[in-house]
Amino acid sequence: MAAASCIVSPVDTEPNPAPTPASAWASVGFGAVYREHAQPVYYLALRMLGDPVEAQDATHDVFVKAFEHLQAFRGESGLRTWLYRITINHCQNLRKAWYRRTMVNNVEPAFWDLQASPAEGTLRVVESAELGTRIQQALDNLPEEYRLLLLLVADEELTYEQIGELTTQSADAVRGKLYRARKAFAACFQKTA
Amino acid sequence: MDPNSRKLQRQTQEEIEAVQEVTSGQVQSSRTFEEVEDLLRYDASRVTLPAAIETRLQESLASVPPARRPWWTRIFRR
Repeated sequence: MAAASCIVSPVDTEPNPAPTPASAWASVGFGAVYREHAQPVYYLALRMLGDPVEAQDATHDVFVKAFEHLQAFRGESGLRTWLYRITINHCQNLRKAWYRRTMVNNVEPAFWDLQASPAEGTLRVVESAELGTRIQQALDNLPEEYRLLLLLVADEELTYEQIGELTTQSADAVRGKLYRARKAFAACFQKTA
Repeated sequence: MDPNSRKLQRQTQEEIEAVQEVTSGQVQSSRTFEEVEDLLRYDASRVTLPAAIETRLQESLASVPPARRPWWTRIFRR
C-alpha cells in the first residue's frame, strides 16, 4: 500500500534526539543566533517598554521562547522577523494592562497630521546623555502602531513587506503610515527639546 | 527690525551660547539626520546590550526541558 510505505514505526524513525539545553547553546548554534539578533531585539524591547530592566527581562524571555520553539521555526520568514514577532507579542502583552490604565493618546491618525511639524525634514540633535530619553519620550507619545512601524523600519534588515507581515498589513499601508509616523515623531521630538 | 540686524542678533546669540558651552566645559556636537529612522539607528547604535542577559539565558536554558518533536514527525518521515 502506497500510503503505508510512508508510515513507519516510531522505533524506526526515532529522530535525532533534540539537543539538550546545555549543549544547544553551543552545538545547535543558539549562541550564534543570540549574538546576531540580541541587540536589535533588546533595542526594540527597550523602546517599546521604555524601561531598561523590563527590556532586559523581555529579551531574556524572548530568547527562551525562541529556544523552546526553535524546531517549529520553518524558515518561512527570516529569523529576525520571527524573533521580532515574539518580541512584539511579548511586549504588547506586558503593556496591555498598562495601556488600559494610562493610554491617553488613542486618537485618530488625522490628529497627528495636524500636530506634525509643517517643516518635515532633517532632524538636528545635540549629542547628549539625554538624547535617548528624548527619543523615548517622543516614541511614548506616539500611537503604538506608529512607534512600532518606526522602530521596525529603522532595522535595515527588514523590508516593507516583512514589516507589513509583522504588523498585519500591506507594504503599501506601511509606507503610507510611515509618512504620518515620521511627521508625528518629528513633532513630538521637537517638544522634548 | 531689518533683516540684517536680526541676523546679527542671532549670530551674536549663537556666539554667546558657544562661549558659554566652552566655558562651562559642556561642548556638545550636533548631528543632523535626514530621516527619523536614521536617528533611531543612531540611537540603537548607542544602546549597549547588557552582558547579564546572556549569562542569565544560559542558566535558564539549562533548566528548559528539551523541545520534543511533534508526534506526527515521529510517525511520518518529514
